[in-house]
Amino acid sequence: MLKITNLHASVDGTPILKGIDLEVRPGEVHAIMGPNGSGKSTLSQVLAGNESYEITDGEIILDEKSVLEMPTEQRAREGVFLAFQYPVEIPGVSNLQFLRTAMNSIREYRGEEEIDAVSFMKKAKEKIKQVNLDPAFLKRGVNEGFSGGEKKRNEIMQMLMLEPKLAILDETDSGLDIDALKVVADGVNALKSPDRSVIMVTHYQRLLDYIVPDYVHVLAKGKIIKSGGKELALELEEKGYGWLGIDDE
Amino acid sequence: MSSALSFPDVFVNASDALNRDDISSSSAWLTTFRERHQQQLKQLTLPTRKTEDWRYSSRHLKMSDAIAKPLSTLTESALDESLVDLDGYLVVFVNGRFAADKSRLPSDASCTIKRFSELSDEEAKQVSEGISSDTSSLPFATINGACLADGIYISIPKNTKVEKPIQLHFHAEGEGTTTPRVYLVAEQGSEATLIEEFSGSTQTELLTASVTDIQLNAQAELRYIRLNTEAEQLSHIGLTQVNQNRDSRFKSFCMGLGGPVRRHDLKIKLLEPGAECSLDGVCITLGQQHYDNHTEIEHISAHCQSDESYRCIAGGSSHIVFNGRIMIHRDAQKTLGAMSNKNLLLTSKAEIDSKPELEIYADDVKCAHGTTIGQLDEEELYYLVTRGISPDHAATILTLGFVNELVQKIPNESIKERTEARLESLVKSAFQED
Repeated sequence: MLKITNLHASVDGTPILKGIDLEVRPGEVHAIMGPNGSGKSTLSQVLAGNESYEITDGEIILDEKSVLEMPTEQRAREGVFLAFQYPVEIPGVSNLQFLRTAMNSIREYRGEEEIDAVSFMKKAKEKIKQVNLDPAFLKRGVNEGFSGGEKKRNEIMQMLMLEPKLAILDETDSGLDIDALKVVADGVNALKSPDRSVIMVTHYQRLLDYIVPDYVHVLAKGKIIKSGGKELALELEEKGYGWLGIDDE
Repeated sequence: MSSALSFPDVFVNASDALNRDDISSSSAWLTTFRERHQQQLKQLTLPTRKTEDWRYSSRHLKMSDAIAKPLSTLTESALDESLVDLDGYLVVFVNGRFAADKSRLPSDASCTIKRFSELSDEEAKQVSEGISSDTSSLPFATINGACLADGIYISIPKNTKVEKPIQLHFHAEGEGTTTPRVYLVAEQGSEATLIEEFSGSTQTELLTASVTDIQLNAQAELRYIRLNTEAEQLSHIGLTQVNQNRDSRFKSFCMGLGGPVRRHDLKIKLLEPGAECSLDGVCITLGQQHYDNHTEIEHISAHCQSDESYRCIAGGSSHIVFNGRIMIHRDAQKTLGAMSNKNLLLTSKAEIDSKPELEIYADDVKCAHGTTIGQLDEEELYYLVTRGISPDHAATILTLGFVNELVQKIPNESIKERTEARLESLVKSAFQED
C-alpha cells in the first residue's frame, strides 16, 4: 500500500524529516506518536502533498506509484485522505457543494460517472448522522462557525463520504471530549477494511483505546526511533517519552 | 477615436440632434425639463483625475463624437436572446424607444405604469417636481436630462401590495447614446419589487446614461434589483436616487459586470425617522474592464438605519472602484449605520480602489465600516485540493463563495439562478485566462 523510504523534508530550508522509513500494508492501522515538534504533522502534510514542504531526499510509493511527482489533487484521487488538525472555515461554500464536487472529481479521475443528486443526498445524510452532526450542517458553509469538535467530526464525515484507501488522521483526537472521541473512533472503525489503511498521528495514547493500532511508531527529531505493537503506546503513556532518551515538549 | 469635441459640446450637440428627431410630439413639461438640463450641460466640463468624484475612474472616460447621437431605431434586434420574462409587469425599451409589443402593463388598478409622454398634468407635475432637478455634480445625469425623449412613470397606490415584480428591460445596440429614465413613487404603506435590467451588444461605441428616481412615502417598502449585465462592449453610467420618508424600507441588490467605462451611483436620503435601507452589491470585472460603485447614504433624520454590503472581484488587468459614503447630519441622532466592502483580486495586474467615507455630525450614533482587499486564501485552496478538487476548480468555488452570501439574498428565484449561472461562467473564464 504505502512505502516510505529514507524520506527527508524541509520547510524554508530547515530540515524537519530526516530519514523516515515506514511501510503500511493494506488493512493495517499505524499510530505515529511523538512529542511536539518531532515532525508528526510534517509527515502528514508531506503525504497529502502540501507544497510548502520540500522533499530533499527519499521516496514515497503508494500502490507501486511514486507520489512525489503527483500534485495534491491527484493524490486525493488515488485515495489519500488527510483529516486536518486545524480544518479551515470556508464561508460561502456549502458542505454539500464541497463534498459533491470532491466526490465527482475523484469519480471522474477513476472513469466513473457523476453521482446522481438523490444517491448523493442519501449518502450525505447517512454519513452526517453517523458522526452525530445535525443534518442542517450540510447546508452551512464548510466548517463555518463549527466548534473544534464539530470540525473534527466533519473531517471524519468527509472521510466516510470519500472512502479513501489511505486515511491519515493528523491529531484528530486533540481537543475532543470523550463522546466526540468515540464518534471519531467509530467513524474510523467503520471505514476499516482489508484493503484500507489508516495512519493516526497523535500526541496522546487515549485515541488508541478506541482505535486499536497494529503498529505504534515513535517519531522524534524527524526520525522513527522506536516501533512496536499497541503495547508500546501504553508504555509511552506510563513512562512518557523520557525513557526513550528524548525530551517531552 | 476622435478627440475633436470636448465633453459638453458632444452632448449639447446630441441634445440638438434629439430635438430635431423623434420627440417633437412630447409634452411641454418634458421640453422644459430637457431645456433646463441643456443649459446645465453647457456649464459642465469633462471629469478629470482632479475631479474628486471621478478620481479613480476618469482615465476610463473616452468621449468621442461617435457616441454623441441618439441610437437609431432598430428593425431587428437581439432583444429576445437577453429578455427573460419574469411573468410580472414588463416594460421594454429598445434603443430608447418603448416597445409596446414586448411589454405587459397592468390592466387593473394594482399599480400605474405609464410613459412620460402619456402623463396627466398632475402626474407630470409630480415627476417634474419630484425628480432631481439639480444634477450639476452628476454630469451624466445631466446628459440624461438634456437628451431625454421619454421615460417610465410608476405609481404604487396607497396600502397596495403589488405581488408581481415590475420588470424594466432596457436593450441597446448600435452607436450612440441612450438615456433611460424611470420615476417611481410608492405611496404610503405600499409594497413592490422593481427590477431594472440592461442588455445589449455592440461592436461600436455605445453609452447608456440612465437615471432612476424613487420616492418612498411613509411605510412603503421597495425591493430593488438592478442588473448592469449588458455585453462588455457597452459603457454605462447610471444613477439611482431614493428619497425615503418615515418608516419606509428600501432593499437593493445591484449586480455589476465590467465594461469600457461603467459606473453606478446609488444615493439614498433617509429624510424622516424610522426609514431603513439595506444595500447589497456584487461586481465582477475581467480583462480590461472597469466598474465603479458609488454609494451615498444620507442620514438626515434621527432613528434611521442603513446597512450596506458590497463585494467586488477583479480579474485580468481590470479595475474596480468602490466609493461608499455615509453622511450623518447634525439632527440624525440614534442613527445605526453599517457599511462593509470586501474585495477580491484574482491577479496581480487587477486593481481595486476602495474608499469608505464617514461624515458624522451627530453625537449619538452607532456607525461602523470595514473594507478588505485580498486574494484567494492559500489554506482554503489547499484544503479543497486535498479532497481531489483541481486547483482551477477550487479557485472557482472559492471565488463564487466570496459573493455567494449576497447572491443567495436576491429576492427573486429566477434572477438568483441566472446570476449564479452568469457568475459561474465568468469566474471559470477568469481562471482559464491565466
